[in-house]
Amino acid sequence: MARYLIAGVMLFDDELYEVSGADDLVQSVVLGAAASRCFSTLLEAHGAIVTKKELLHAGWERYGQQVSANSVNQSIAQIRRCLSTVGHCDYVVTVPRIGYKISDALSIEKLGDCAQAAPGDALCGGRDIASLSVMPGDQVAVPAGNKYSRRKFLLLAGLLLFNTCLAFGWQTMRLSSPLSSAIQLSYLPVPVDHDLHVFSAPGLNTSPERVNAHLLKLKGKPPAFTSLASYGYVYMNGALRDDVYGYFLCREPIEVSVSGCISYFVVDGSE
Amino acid sequence: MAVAKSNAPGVMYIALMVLPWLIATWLYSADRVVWECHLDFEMLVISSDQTAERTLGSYSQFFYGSNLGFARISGRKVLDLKNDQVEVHNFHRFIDFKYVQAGPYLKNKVTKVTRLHGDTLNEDQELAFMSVPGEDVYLQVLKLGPNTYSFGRLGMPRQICQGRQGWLMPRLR
Repeated sequence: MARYLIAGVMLFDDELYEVSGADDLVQSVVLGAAASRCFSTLLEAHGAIVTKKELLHAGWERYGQQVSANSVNQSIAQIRRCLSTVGHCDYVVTVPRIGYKISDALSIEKLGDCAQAAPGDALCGGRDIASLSVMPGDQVAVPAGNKYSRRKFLLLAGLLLFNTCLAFGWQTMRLSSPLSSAIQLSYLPVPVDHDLHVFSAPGLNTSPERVNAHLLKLKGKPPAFTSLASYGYVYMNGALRDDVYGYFLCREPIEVSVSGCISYFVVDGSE
Repeated sequence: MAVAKSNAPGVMYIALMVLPWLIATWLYSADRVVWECHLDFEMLVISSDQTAERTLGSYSQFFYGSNLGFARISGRKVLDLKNDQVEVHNFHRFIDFKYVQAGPYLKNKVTKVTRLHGDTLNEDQELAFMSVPGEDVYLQVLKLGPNTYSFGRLGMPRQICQGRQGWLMPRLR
């Protein structure tokens, strides 16, 4: 939102929709919202011609309102009435069949953003922020409203994104999972003289005698429904009883395997 | 008409706020299977009198997000008796169970066992991984790899699970 010093004697505040004399001797006049937006657009055009269609868009259509072209004429009339009230006439020039422009004879000084002004600053932002003297052929500046609406859009998009994350997060937290108490377990490699890759579960007795006993048991009592030779990776597991032998037999390392492992147990009560 | 036009952005905004909740509720329904555990196993039990029992089977468990689950176990049990006699029994059962996290353990309780057609294994015969309905069984869930878990006891793995996580993969560890 900005204020403009027009011809050094008149102030226009596009947030308050207000036109006033710079010396406070003249009582301020309030423009309507749409007329104020049209006036801002004309001022930001630096004296370039602004078509009726552009004014229609800036004043109404950008805010979702649908009005007739006559509303532009009414707003221009309102701006002129307002300017004449504070003692300045003929600053808005009609360009027949095209649109309107601010008089080339007019100097316009943009006084900056009121929201960012230092407290106590009489002109809300200071006169040195931007000087927009009207020069023929100047490029049309981007209306300040665009910045505001982009910020609003980003805020809305952020809120929607947060809401989506909250929805998915909340729903997943509501569900139970058997894996929520999972404990990481890594097998330890056991050096052996065979072609097999042998690993033992942490905590298992890995004395050479016990490892040999496990391997002998596996070779002496192999699984019946599959060939032991097809499993290159043997993971030894323990149990409370010494006569229980547990194995996971895998075709590939257990860390990367997604299938192809079996659980094999031998309970040898004859020992 | 004008009122309807001015309300349109508001209605759209409310719809955009509500839509993620509807989709999340549908996607993460408690009726969905959050994890499956599939296990092939073989168990050889040799008795002191030199008779042997060999059990071959498949055991699949399906866990819902509602602390309920069901399992299917099927296979056969071969009894090598004295005098070279052999008995073969088939088993094929559905098991309904409840599960709940109990500290570092997973507490499982079988609620119902349904014997299916072709199940010839007597009730009094022990079957691997089965527990009595109503009995609480405490298991440890051990993570062995990115997609490989194991159910175990006393820190020792017993059943290797190679399962799917499906829809809820992002949530599961």
